[in-house]
Amino acid sequence: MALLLAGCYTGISDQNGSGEGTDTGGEGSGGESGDESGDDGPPVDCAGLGAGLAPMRRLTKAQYDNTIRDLFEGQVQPGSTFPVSVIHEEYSNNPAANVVSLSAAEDILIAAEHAAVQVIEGIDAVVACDPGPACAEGFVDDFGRRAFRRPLSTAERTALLDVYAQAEAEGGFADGIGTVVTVVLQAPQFLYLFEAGGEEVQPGVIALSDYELATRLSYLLWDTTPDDTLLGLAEAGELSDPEILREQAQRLLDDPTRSGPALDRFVREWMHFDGVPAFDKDAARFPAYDDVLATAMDQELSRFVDGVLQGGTPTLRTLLTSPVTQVDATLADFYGVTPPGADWAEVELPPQQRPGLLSRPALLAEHSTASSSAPIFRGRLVRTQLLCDAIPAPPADAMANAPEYPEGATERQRSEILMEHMNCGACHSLMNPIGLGFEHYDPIGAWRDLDVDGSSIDARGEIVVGAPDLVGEFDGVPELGERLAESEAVTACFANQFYRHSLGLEVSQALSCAVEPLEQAFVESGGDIPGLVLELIGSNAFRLRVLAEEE
Amino acid sequence: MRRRSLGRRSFLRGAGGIALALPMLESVGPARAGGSTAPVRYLQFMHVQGTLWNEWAPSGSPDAMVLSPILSPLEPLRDSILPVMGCDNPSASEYGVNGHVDSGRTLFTCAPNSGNNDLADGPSIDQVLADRIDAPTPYKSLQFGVGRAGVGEYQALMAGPQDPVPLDADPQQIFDQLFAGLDDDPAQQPNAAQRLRARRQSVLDAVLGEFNGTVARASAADRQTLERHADKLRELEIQLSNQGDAGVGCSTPVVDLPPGYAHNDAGQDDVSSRVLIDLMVMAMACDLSRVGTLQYTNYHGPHYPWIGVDVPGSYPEWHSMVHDLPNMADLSAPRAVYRWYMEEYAYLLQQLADTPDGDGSLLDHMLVMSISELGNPASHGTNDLPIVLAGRAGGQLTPGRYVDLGGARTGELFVTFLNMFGADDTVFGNPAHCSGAVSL
Repeated sequence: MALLLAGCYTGISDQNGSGEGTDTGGEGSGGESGDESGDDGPPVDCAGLGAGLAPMRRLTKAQYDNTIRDLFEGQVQPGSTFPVSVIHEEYSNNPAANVVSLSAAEDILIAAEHAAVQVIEGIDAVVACDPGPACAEGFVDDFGRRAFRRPLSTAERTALLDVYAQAEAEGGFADGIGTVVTVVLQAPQFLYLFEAGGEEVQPGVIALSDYELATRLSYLLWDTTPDDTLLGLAEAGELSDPEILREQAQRLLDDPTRSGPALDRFVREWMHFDGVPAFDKDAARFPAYDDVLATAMDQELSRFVDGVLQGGTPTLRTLLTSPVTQVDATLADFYGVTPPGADWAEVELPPQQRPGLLSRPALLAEHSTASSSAPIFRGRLVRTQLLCDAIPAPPADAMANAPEYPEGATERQRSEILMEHMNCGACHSLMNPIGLGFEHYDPIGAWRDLDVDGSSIDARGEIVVGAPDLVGEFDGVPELGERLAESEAVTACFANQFYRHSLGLEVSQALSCAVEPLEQAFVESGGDIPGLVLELIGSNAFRLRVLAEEE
Repeated sequence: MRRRSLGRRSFLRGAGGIALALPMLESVGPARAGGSTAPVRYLQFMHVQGTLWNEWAPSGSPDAMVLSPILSPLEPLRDSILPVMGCDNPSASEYGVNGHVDSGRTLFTCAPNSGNNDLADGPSIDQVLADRIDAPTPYKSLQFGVGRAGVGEYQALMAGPQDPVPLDADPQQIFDQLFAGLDDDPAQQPNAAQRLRARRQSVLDAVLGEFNGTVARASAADRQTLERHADKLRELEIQLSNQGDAGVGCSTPVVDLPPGYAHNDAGQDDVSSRVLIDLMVMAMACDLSRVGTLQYTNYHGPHYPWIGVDVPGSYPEWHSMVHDLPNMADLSAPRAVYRWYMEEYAYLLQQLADTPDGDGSLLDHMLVMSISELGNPASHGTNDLPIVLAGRAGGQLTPGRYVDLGGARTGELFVTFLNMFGADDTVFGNPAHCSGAVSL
């Protein structure tokens, strides 16, 4: 379904005989491979079952932190050194974002020791039985099962008990337990979501084991390790029953304290939101943008998303159009509304100013520069994340040949110059005309009626290329949000994004034969987001795995 | 400043087994005093956005060089520096991303582009040197980013194809990892953290055992990921057993950060720069590593508030201004910034010169290179990179003059470096751009 926009300019790619690809994912440059058949070789199909690809995934920092808290039932706080994911264009659980370098290996070791020190110093809170060999065996069995998300093999059990025995001999019971923890928290069975599968349902396609389903489900909806209920159902062999799996998905969704942050993280990564500390903005021009306001905006983004998903109509349309959000005193002042009595309270903002996700100040500040509103960035966000189109990276000499702009020019004037300059318009027509529709929002996301030159803001925009229900002019973000919410292409794109997020897939790994049924179901449901989550979890794209060719 | 205890540090990093080994390890110290066997180290200093060539290039005869306005902060160190002209990076133009990414990824790797345009397809010179030196130091290499940590758009350091080496940027975290606990009293009973550190070797052995079991069951693609991870653990194991050979100048550095300091705030790059230089110098003096990188990461440009320079109002940021340098009548802002980078380089070299090591100073036993990813910044050209070598590399480099290589390539300069460290490499990076060592 993704539109292929490669070749919007005739690039520099062949000047050194370096092949044809100019759209292969330079980070920060907009490249996404639009080739659904993969980069090499013949297309992989879904075995006629709608089964999909799933690479092995390493725990992200967020997943690790949550997992440590849950494994030790809140008795142990995660260390700060666990490596952060290196996100380029993909989601944070994409394998390429979590490659372990030499220093990352040491950082993982230090984080494991940080947890183990707390275990040793607070051993009575972690281990309930009387110190001794039987207690240690019980701990290894129980902790091992929860950390590896399945029962230990005999070899694994023996190895960990050896670790215990050696450290116990040197330092006593607590040291023995703590050292086991240090090993487990660096073991591949813990760090990687490894899906060897259960039975092979047909050549090249495996069904996930019950334990693997519990793990996928838990990390998708709670961003953490499976709880006792899920592990118990897996042990009983019940999670492979699609009905029970769905019930469990519903149970996890129904706990917003855990599913809320997990879904919020999806929205943040989907929207390429990374946080905008005060020092990212030009303090001389935006003195109001201090750390207090930046933090409030960041929190509001989560509260807005949460409000949509927990509200009566949790649809993509609500997400893109709702004027209802929450404010604290800082944001009330920012929006010019009455401050709430409590810390945070729900308000309905003027729909012509603040309709939906795309008008959230945190996102607008993210997709701006320090001092300009950056229609390129805002248009690019819509193009790649909502329309699922790929934009090739700019040619190497793009900046060297950039046009000159008169001093004090508005972003609209600058865009007009850029679009006429050399061949720039070929690609920038995909971004700038959309981004100009955001001109009512300044670089910190504040509403403005006057442009930098004192003239009235002109927020007319246009989607120049796209599906027939998308193409055309619009006036400001309210009309843009409506247009996107109505679009089947955008609705399908959202389902595609959520699917990629669920398994850390690159664009090329989201096989259309696996994801198209989900996209279709999401369109038919009217963009019901919890419905999409349940549909995905019940699907073969989630429950089965296609073995890649080399497997 | 208190002297550190070598035996204690070895203990903290868990060299060879258990806490009870402490008394034995103490016999390793004290640090080597005097002697002429000090090891040679390598340090690279990367600043961003090229320079103003006409105000950078030294003049006069090579042996009686006259330092330019931008290089003038190095005047007190003129006998220790060797500006290099006429050295190009032709590999940059073969990566099709953009002028910065291409030049950043190829600056130290000189790597050919295998066609995926992503990270560089080869190791960087610092990592290759570290492999060749194979020093018994606790860290294979250290790499500090002024501004940003992790793997960036501008990823310059690579352990191998598609295998990035991330930067560390948080001075407090770096200090804690490298130096904290060095002054602890070895007579005290070790606490839980120290006991765990003392068990690192056996812990990593056990972890590697788990990898062996898992790799056997993995698919080909996943096996590659797991094997690479296991390789890093093996490297880590070797590092952890290394103690280094601390020189007489080794002591615990002082990290004194102002209130409100944030290492990723570009407006405080001046603070980050000095503290990271201090940490790097002492890491070298203490032989924690023999290979280091200091990299300035903010190429979009802070506004350099600490030198009272602001980007002229017509440019939204420093980077845009740089593109327009040929059209600017008043170059005072870019001149001040390019000069500032050389002031930081001078500070680094002065610290190295002031730190005793072996029979001389640390700088005597180092090869240092300052470089930028660009030559002509406005066009993002990668010819005539602004390179200033420094140090005596244990007698192998003769500074106090400049040299014009007349169109040599960076790969050839790096082969020369490798040869200075005793390696017999004849090619570095893309062979198409490397015909062997140059004469310095």
